[in-house]
Amino acid sequence: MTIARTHNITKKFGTLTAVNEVSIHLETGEILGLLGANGAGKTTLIKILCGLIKPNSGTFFVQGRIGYMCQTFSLVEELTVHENTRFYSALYGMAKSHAEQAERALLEELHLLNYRDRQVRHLPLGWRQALSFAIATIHKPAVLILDEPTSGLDALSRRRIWRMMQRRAAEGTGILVSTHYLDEAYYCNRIAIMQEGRVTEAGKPEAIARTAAELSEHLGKHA
Amino acid sequence: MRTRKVIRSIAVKEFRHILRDPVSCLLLFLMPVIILVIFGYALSFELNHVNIAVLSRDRSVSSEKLFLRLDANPKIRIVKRLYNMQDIEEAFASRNIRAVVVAGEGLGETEVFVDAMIPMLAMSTENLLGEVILRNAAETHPSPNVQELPEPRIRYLYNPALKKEYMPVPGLIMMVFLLVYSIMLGVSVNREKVQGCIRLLRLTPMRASDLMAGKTAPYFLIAFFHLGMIFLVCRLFGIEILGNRMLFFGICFLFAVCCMSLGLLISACFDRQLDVLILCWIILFIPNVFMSGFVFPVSTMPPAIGAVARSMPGTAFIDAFRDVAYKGNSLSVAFRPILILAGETLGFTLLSYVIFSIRLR
Repeated sequence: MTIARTHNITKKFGTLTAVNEVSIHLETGEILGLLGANGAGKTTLIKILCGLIKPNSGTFFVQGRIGYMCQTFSLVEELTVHENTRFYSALYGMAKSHAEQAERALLEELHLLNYRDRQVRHLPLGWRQALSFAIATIHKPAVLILDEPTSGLDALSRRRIWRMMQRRAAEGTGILVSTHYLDEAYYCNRIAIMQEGRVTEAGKPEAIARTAAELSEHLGKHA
Repeated sequence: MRTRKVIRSIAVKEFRHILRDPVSCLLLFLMPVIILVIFGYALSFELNHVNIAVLSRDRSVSSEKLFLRLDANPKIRIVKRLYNMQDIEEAFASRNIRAVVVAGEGLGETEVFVDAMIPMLAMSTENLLGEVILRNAAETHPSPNVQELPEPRIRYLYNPALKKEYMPVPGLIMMVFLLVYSIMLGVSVNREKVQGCIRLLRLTPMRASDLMAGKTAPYFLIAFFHLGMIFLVCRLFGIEILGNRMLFFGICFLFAVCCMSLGLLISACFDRQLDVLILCWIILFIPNVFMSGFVFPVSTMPPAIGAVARSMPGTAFIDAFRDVAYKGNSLSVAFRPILILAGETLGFTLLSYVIFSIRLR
């Protein structure tokens, strides 16, 4: 079932066309990867889908609740891990007992239980990103939108985040994730390659590029 | 040669930086103009005019002559004529009148009641009126010896001992409230934008009113701590609150809420923390400190600037504070500044709500 779709979305900033007539769709339980070099329009498209910015033309819909993890770390650094999860679960209107249960499960899964009472600013980047992911999913969203969630992380932390994404997808969450790591394309069910605001190719990763080298060459031409 | 090139590059970069940043331009070009030209023109310790009321005890010709002489002075304006001594207090209740001249049967019976809440202004008023009264006495009194002329009796009201502590206390409270409730709250709200939390918050069912209420709630509690602090400060300086204490603390609380609404408004309009900080200083702090009657009396300002000054929250707060705490006025008498404060609080809050609603949509 399609849970998110854009149709001919265009967004301009002055004379720059950041997103140019993009049409994509996301199915239940699917991981759709947005691949592209910096400035390709991935973040703008994600912000449009989240409702953070308005497109100049085109239509889109997202069915159900959205979980969002932005490119830059956006949690409250002065709060502890627990306080952050409590804060956001309260904003999502979750009952206290339900929120505590969800928090415990997520922190256990992320191996963050030992850091529950530590201020977020004292956590290493990998743990912070994991926490951001936990908070984006705490209210069990139907659509999870992740903007470069593994950016700047080591290989181990990246693998941990992808494993969590795959678990959520298996539970039925539709995930739209942007990345510029080519090897990560193979974690996705489908990928859409963005160049200069347009989706130039879309489909299964294997169908688009037989090898990572081909994909690299493909992206490199337009980087 | 290389050093010169480096310095030049940095200077050019800095120049571009300044010109492309509207807040820097405001700070560098507009603020000096405001401070030097407007404040320089508007602010003065010199008494331009004094509004007085007069009362003739004997309704004699000599009293009328004195009143005519007073009215003829370009700095003195007789704005009210009283008919009995009980009216004096009521006349002072309106902030319009600074002194009441009571002419008695003989020249020695002339009394001058002066509002002494601002000691410096009281002294200037006393000097100005005393000079006219003495000159009038010299012309009408049979003895040509100035030393022998009977001097008017001066009575200071509201601050009989001319204690200097009376003047700065409301102004200092105003400064603290502006710092805490406007600047701190404004910066705190803006921190959500700077840290990026606002993007996540926008995806939750949170409404603009939720954000505003949640952000201000801790400051409401802090306000109660500050009210206790004000009470202690008044006691420390020996300032007696003459009016209703509930009304007095209500005014302080209302001003705290007004400052919060200003902080919210500025943070709703601007995205960068530094912009909020600078604009709070330029738009709120400096004008309120200099034009609210805290440092320079509003009555000495030119009429147009005085009207602007009277519409500022700081001025309304200081007026209401003095009315209730020093004069002991009731709500029915001191309603004007309180109404200004309440209206501005409501207006700023509604405006912030509209801007937040649009920006969080």
